[in-house]
Amino acid sequence: MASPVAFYLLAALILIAAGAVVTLRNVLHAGLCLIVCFWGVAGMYVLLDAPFLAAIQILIYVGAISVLLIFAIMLTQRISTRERPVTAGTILRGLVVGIGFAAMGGYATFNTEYAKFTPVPHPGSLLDLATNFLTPEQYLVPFEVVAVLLLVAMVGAVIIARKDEPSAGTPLVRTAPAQPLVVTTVPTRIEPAPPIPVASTPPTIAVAEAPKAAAPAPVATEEKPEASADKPSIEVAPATPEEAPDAEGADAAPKKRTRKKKTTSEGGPQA
Amino acid sequence: MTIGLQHYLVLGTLLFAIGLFGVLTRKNAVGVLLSLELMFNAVNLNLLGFNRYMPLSHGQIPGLGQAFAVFIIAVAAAEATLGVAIVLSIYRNFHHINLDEVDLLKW
Repeated sequence: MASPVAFYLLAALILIAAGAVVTLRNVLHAGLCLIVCFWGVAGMYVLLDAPFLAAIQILIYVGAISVLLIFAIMLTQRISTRERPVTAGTILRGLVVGIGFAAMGGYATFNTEYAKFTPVPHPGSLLDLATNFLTPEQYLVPFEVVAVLLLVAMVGAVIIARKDEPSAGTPLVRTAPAQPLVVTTVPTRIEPAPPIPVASTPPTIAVAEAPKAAAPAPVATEEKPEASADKPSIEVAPATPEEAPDAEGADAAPKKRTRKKKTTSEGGPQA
Repeated sequence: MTIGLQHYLVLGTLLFAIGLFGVLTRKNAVGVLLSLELMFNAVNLNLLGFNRYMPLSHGQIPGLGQAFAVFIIAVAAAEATLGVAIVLSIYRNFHHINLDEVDLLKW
């Protein structure tokens, strides 16, 4: 039987700590207050004659989940960072929903005949808990499913939080400019190329000269509409689809050239 | 004055309402996770209160509410792990975890 003094002290501790969790602007302080709240709930489990659950509460919540959340806080922001202030409308909506829920739960509680229940003689020992978990007629299957769930959550967390490889995809929003990884390495490799006779590969020269010839053409078409912007002339419209493949060839051709030169330069020292 | 079942239920209701308020008003994603843990604790408190005060029906083994509370603790641990992983992934992509600015799926 729980003594009223212990109950009210623990209830006050829990509620004050919970209120601090949701109102403190510094999230790290909120996380520390959450630990206090978890301790209070563990004490409440002791009052409810569930000492094993109290131990689990301290081990998992106070020991593991709090540390996990504080790690998340420290990995994602400066410790001194304050959360941006929420608007009054948001607080008002939260208060309406919270107070509404509390009123609904309190109304349901006080209009149900809960007062007639007295503590049961056997609230469940550790042996009873194990019997519930490990008897096939009881909850053996959900017990095993929860084990699989924890494994799945662990693998999923590793996959989600893993740092991607550079080729695995680009971030959704990039605030820092992209690092030029490829461009710096290419010209240094091309330089030892000159002793190789290029005449053996005529198609590369033809492709390499094509973009130079085609390069001024799109510039001219771009300058034309700027110069005569008032009349949308017919000259510009047919000109762009004809030269569009050349512009694409200008983009694609240097890649071909550098690749072929790379192969020749690598093959040169061997020959 | 003795402490009855309704005391624990009211405490659980208040704790759940506080957690709900936090989930709705926090802008920080980790703050939302903290409030979610409050709500899990409120549910566990209710379950253990019923476990202590409600008589069992035929064929039930004592400690049923404790078994359910253990299930909820396990699920809460999995949820916190995945939630923190998602928050870290959001932080890596956005460089902040303000939930009102993470609106890629908002049309």
